[in-house]
Amino acid sequence: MSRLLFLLFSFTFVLVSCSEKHEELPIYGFKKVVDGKEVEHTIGEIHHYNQDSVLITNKDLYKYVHVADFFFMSCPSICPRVTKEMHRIYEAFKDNPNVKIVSFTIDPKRDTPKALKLYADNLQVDHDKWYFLSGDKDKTFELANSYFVAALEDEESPGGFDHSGKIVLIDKEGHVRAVSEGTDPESTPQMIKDINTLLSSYESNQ
Amino acid sequence: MRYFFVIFIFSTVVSCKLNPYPYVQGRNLYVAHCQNCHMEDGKGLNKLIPSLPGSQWMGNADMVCIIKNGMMDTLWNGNDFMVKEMPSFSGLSPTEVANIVNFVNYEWNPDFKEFSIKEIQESLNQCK
Ligand code: HEC
Repeated sequence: MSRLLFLLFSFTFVLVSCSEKHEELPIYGFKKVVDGKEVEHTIGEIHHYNQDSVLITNKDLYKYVHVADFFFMSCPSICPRVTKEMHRIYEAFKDNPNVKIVSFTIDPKRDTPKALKLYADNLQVDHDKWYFLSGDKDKTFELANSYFVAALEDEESPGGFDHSGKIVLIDKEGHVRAVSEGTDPESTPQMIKDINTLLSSYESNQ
Repeated sequence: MRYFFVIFIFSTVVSCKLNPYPYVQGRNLYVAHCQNCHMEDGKGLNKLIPSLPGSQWMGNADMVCIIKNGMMDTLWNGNDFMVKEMPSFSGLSPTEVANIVNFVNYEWNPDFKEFSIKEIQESLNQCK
């Protein structure tokens, strides 16, 4: 009898410790109450064209986890550094079909899909892996806020826009799951780790 | 043993004093004005921002004109175009420009030779 108990104990111990080892990423933002039910914060509406002029919506992106930043091509300040960190993440997940890299332009007037295509060409990245999205400017600013990235037009700022160089990880439900500083190369390895954590949470749920 | 330690500290301090980094202002100005685009290692970003190591402007005082006036290229691919732009830094003094050019060459030009402020000033005067 005691032996059986011991076996049962050790069995549950193994089970518990296994499930506890599983790391979970937080869901960012405040919960909202909709129809009497609590729901998590999700990103806003995506209705943007990629560099191949194909319309991309939330539904398209939610087939993957995606890593996003907000930038503009003629940015004289931090953007190239953020793009470099995005490129490191791109390199790390280039061959993983469950990840998309997404850069929204906050200057859609100049950064048309065609110009963005040239930009991506010169960055030497795969157009199907890394989307450069342009859409309505004000909606893009609103969208940036839902990613918790501050972006606004500001004549005093270099290039006429003020924005933060955050890199944001979004899961397949539109939740913000991790944020890193695109201007700090040392925060990129943690982001790569977080993406792997998120990906493995989908594997273990299957 | 304790003496050894003291001597060690002393000699480190002395050698640092004798061998200070020669282009501290140049490095600070690079970090403030150039590094966002050309990056910490000077290598830029693929074909969007050129690499300074290996650039044809290394060892050439006319690099000051790029800093002073900026540089703009239009990339074409048949029917679409994209502007590739390096902003101008016309507000920097000749001494500051000299320090940047010397820093950049010191770091990334294997045939480093220091430019005097006079040389830099002359090149600046010749820029269009
Ligand atoms: C906003 C981004 C940006 C900043 C800031 C910047 N550059 Fe540039 N730089 C560029 C781009 C883009 C080019 C290429 C322009 C072109 O092809 O027309 C370039 C070109 C150059 C070149 C010519 C390289 C070659 O081989 O053709 C030199 C030299 C250079 N930059 C030095 C500097 C220095 C020094 C600073 C700081 C004082 C600086 N840059 C700041 C983006 C930048």
